[in-house]
Amino acid sequence: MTFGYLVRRVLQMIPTFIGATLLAFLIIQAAPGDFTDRFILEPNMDAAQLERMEARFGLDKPVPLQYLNWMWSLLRFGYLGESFSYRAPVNVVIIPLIWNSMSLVLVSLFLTYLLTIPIAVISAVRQYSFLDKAVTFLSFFGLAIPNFFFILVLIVGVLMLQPVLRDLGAGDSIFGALIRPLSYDLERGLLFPVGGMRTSQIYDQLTVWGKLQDRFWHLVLPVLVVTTASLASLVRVLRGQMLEFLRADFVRTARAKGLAESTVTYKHALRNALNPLISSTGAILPELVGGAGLVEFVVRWPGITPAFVAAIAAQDIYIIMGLLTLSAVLLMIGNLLADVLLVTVDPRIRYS
Amino acid sequence: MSVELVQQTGVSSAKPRWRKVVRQLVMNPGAFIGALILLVLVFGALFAPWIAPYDWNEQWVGPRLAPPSTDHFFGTDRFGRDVFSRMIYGGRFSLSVGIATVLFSMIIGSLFGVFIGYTGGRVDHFGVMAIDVMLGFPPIVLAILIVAVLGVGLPNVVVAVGIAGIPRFARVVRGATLAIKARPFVEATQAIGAGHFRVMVWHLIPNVLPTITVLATLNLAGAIISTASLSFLGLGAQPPTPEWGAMLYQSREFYRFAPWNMIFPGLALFLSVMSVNLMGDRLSEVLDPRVSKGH
Repeated sequence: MTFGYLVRRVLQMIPTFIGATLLAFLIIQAAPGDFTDRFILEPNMDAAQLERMEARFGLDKPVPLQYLNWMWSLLRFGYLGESFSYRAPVNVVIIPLIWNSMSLVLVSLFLTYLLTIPIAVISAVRQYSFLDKAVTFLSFFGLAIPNFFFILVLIVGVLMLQPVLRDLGAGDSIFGALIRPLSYDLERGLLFPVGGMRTSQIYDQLTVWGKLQDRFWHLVLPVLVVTTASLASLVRVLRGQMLEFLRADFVRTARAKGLAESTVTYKHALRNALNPLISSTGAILPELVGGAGLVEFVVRWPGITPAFVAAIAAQDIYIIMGLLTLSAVLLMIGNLLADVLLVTVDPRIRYS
Repeated sequence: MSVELVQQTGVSSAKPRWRKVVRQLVMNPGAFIGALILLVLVFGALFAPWIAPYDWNEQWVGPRLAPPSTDHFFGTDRFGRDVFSRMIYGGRFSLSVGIATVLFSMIIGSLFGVFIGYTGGRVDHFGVMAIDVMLGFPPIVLAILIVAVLGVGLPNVVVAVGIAGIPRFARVVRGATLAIKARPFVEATQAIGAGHFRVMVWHLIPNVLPTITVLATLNLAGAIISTASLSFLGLGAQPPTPEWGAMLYQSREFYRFAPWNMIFPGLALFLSVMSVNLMGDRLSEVLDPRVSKGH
């Protein structure tokens, strides 16, 4: 891979970026009405005030000009416009949202990659064993269960255990002492918190360690759900690849010349099987953000997707644009990284 | 003699091939279970008026939020409606909406893919660029955005999720078209004097049909989940429609006290997606091994 290739790839991203932002802007503008319409019926607002408001937000200008203005200030100052409903720069509004969603998504992503490789490899090496069948069954389960349903089921499960655990927490039994460090709040009988990102009433008074613990407990259920879905699909892909390469001629050759089975599996078969996993890295991040979105809704996680839907309802166009631009940029960078990684890992692949 | 030969290698071979596909599908235990579950769900949806013990929208057929009993297998909701009956009727909405969505993206995406792939040159270049632009957004996000423009409702959800699914079909079908276009029979057809339209409709589309079928089956599960997701966000089916995603949405305020309102529609959703996946998986192995890999 040459430097020239990288430059060309980055240059190719420019028309896609312009196209994606333009498409988003046109779709948003195609929605009837604008942000100021919600004030029409308010008794203390008159037509002149509404007009002044439209002018202040630049909504009175023609759509192409609005788009050019937005693009210009983005390129010139990195400024994404002003949020109408928050009355603050979009950059300031969306940074905490991104941070909140990313804490959920990145932990899930990390766990997914950590678990995919051993599970898929063992499952492929021992094809048709009990473990392999269990993995296949579970990945079908993970792919089929809608994540908003899965998180609801888990929450109901935790709540059904609540009375039993509350008694245990109140008593002095050994079991209670054992389970106390493994649960979020045994006095209330909660194995895990069932909503939110942190315990709002006490969070500010907690120590740094306490804050981290509190965050951790709130992450468990959402991360479990988000990880299940992505794990299921990646394990299936990698297992299929491994099965194919374990039967390949070069693997038989490697075995024939007396290499240890673990070397054959990990250095010959896995090394080749990883390619589709690497090339899917680019797509997996936006996919995870989208998938985590519904979980965010259910557990009232202050992340990107709930804010996105709220912004659409309020026609807060620059928030919508900001979040869409972000997801488009994430995807493009992810795809670029995946390509670069693929060339680095696999010397057979060459880009010209 | 030569006529027989043409018949053997040509059109007449299509029929036994499909029969073989069906047999291979049913012989696989996973696909068989999938087909069985799906058959039960579809049967329930089709014959809902005869199977459901109550009307899906009749209120106070029982006490409100009553747990499952012999009178109400899956309990009742907050208006005293029978959850079992609503779930049976819900299949009519959830399943048909999923199928309609896939058909929408399949038809438009495939036509677009065949067209740009066959035409090539600048058309192909800009077509691929358009696909890339649309792939720049997570599908569910694009769908939410389009619903915002079209307005809330189940038909609009079909269009929105359908549009968001177009680029995936277009990309794969374009690739398949490029491969088939390079084969000598296409050139032969052109040499006999067939027009571009004829080549596309009678020669390219039938040849990419297995790819399209596999892709549609693999996408059906996703479409059922996506449309239900939008209903779960309150953007799709509106009350009192017993669509499964909407039933989950309406159960959110009292799932702590009456989880049966949430469990059973969710389970129906889960089972239908699972059965479609099981069948799609096997179908892709039988019909087109290339597509199933890496997707």
